[in-house]
Amino acid sequence: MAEHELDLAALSRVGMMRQKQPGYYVMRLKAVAGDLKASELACIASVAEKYGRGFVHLSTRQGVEIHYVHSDNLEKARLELQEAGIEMGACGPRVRVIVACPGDDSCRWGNIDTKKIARELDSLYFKQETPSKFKFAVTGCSNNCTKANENDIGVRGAIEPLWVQDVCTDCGLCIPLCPVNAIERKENDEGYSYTTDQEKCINCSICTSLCTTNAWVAGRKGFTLYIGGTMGRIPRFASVLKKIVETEDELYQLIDKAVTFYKENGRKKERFGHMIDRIGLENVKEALLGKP
Amino acid sequence: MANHDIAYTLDVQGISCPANAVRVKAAVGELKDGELLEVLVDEGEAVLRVARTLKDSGYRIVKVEPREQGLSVIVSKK
Repeated sequence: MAEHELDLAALSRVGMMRQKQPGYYVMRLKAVAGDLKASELACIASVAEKYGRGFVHLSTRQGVEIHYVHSDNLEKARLELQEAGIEMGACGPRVRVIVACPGDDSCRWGNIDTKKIARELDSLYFKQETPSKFKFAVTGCSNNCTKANENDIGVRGAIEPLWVQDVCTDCGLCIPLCPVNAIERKENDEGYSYTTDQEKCINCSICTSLCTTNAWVAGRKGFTLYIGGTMGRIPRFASVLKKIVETEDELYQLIDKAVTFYKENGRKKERFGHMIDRIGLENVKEALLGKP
Repeated sequence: MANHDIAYTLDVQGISCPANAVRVKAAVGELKDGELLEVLVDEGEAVLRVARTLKDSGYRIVKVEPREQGLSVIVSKK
């Protein structure tokens, strides 16, 4: 097929980007939550050998890209990948591949099943058209390995620590462990108590994970929901829409409202966060959460 | 520490992770029942790492107190 006959916008919808070298394309593959099976990797390797230049590029968002695929081979390569169960990623003004850390599946700090949420968000939103590119990230805890607040929508596992008097031995370890000095020991009539300052608490899991007698447990568990982050040309850290969303149902409802609001109010090529700045964060929060 | 009878003191301040935790684990392993070990450790990442190793190994943290620099962590076998 001749270069001029290719519809570049249509190609970008299926994760293919024109390189600066005439006739050559990047094939961006989809790996939800950064997971690929070994068999899928083997197929990617073979396609890269056969149609690319024998290497793959790992993108900053858990993507795998095969570079230097000639336009004549794009369809053949895509079909071979598809046969192995590999879907194409997305480029352009639409919802991109959902990134996630390993979460509570294998990480000691993880508070939530990040992969499950990423797969759900993938099935709900992947490739949907949006005013500008739209990125989701799911991260298991406050360590924020997947940078929830650098994405248009960020979901971060969060817990509210609860002190269990019966098993506390008053060793005091939690006080220096807390990264934001939110834990305080108070003397009172019954002896002592440990409390957290909810203003300071970043809802991480250090106290609950490291207390040797398990005197800190997760009280409320849920998700911190971020909106409007971007690290592009005009960086903007995401704003917290809600510090602890307690159920998955509420999480998906709020996300749906946020995406719908952006689709209706975002200007062409305007990122979600920049739309929020234009309309005003408080106004957007009110539209999504209702009047406080 | 007035209330505790410390058998040994181990200073791991200035020693990076995970070497600090490895030394602490080895030292606790040498303790006899009822003996206490005082570990002097830096705040921040260091105490996090040492606490994690102690918890994973099933040892008991008796008392943690701030010092002028760093922390004193008193540990027993169980």
